[in-house]
Amino acid sequence: MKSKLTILMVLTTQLGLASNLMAATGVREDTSMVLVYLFLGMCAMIVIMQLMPAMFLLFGMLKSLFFGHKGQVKANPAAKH
Amino acid sequence: MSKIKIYLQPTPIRIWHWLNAFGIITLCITGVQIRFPDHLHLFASYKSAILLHNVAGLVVAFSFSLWFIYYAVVSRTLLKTYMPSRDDLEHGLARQAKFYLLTYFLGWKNPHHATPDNKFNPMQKSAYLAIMFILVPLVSLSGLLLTNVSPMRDLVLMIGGLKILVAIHFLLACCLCAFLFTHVYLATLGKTPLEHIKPMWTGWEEEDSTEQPHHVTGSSRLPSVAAMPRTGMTTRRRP
Repeated sequence: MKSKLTILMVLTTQLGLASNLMAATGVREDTSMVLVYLFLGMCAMIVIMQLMPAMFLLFGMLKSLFFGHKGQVKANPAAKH
Repeated sequence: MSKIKIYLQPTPIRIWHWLNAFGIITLCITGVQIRFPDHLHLFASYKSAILLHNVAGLVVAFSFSLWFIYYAVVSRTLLKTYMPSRDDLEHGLARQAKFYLLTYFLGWKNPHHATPDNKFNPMQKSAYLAIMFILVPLVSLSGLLLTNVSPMRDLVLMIGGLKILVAIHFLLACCLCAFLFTHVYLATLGKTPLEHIKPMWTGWEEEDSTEQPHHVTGSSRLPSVAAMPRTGMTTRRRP
């Protein structure tokens, strides 16, 4: 009876230690790539935000190039009266 | 009082500057964890700090080449912008140092007036010359050697081995980090704390039309055509 109790105690201690180890491996997840993607995302955001005014300007130029003449034609008859 | 807007910082320079700033701050933080792994645990693991450090280093090296190509090939003003003139060395340095150390606190005007042709004051020119032509290339090269030792093993041995290379990289990085604090502090010494920081984000600097610099007169005060964006925008006057 005494030997069974000893075996049970040893087993319980072993399992207890093993569960701690498993928990420890869970905590040390590798997040290296997440940080890299976050960093690169911030860099991309800087580039996009700096290029935005140029893009708006280009969009405005294209808009005035394709739709600018129509506005002038509509405005001219009104100017005569 | 009317305001004049001057296009001071073109888009490639602004992209370089902010990528460089973000990259160097990341490099400093990850570098501290790599150097003192027992004392600092900012990132999840040592491995993640090294990976982020390597990627940030590559981004800084890439932005450095953007800066170099823009000034050396596109605008062709690399030496003109960064090389201090004889007058800068003889009088300008002392004049600017006097401003930063004394006359700024007495409310005097900055003796240097930034224009697209003459962006930097003598102290900036000297500091940036050392940083952009010596410090950044050396810290990038030593970092590249540390990232991948085996292909350049002979060069590493010629320098004195890995320990010497690590020490050189660390000391150069400390100098760069020290410059960062000085740079941020001096950047806030405008009429308002954001006066000099805003043009680096928007590209445009606003100033009073009545403001006359000490050493720039007449037409040289106006921005050059080459420095303007190729969209027909010119100096704007605000009522």
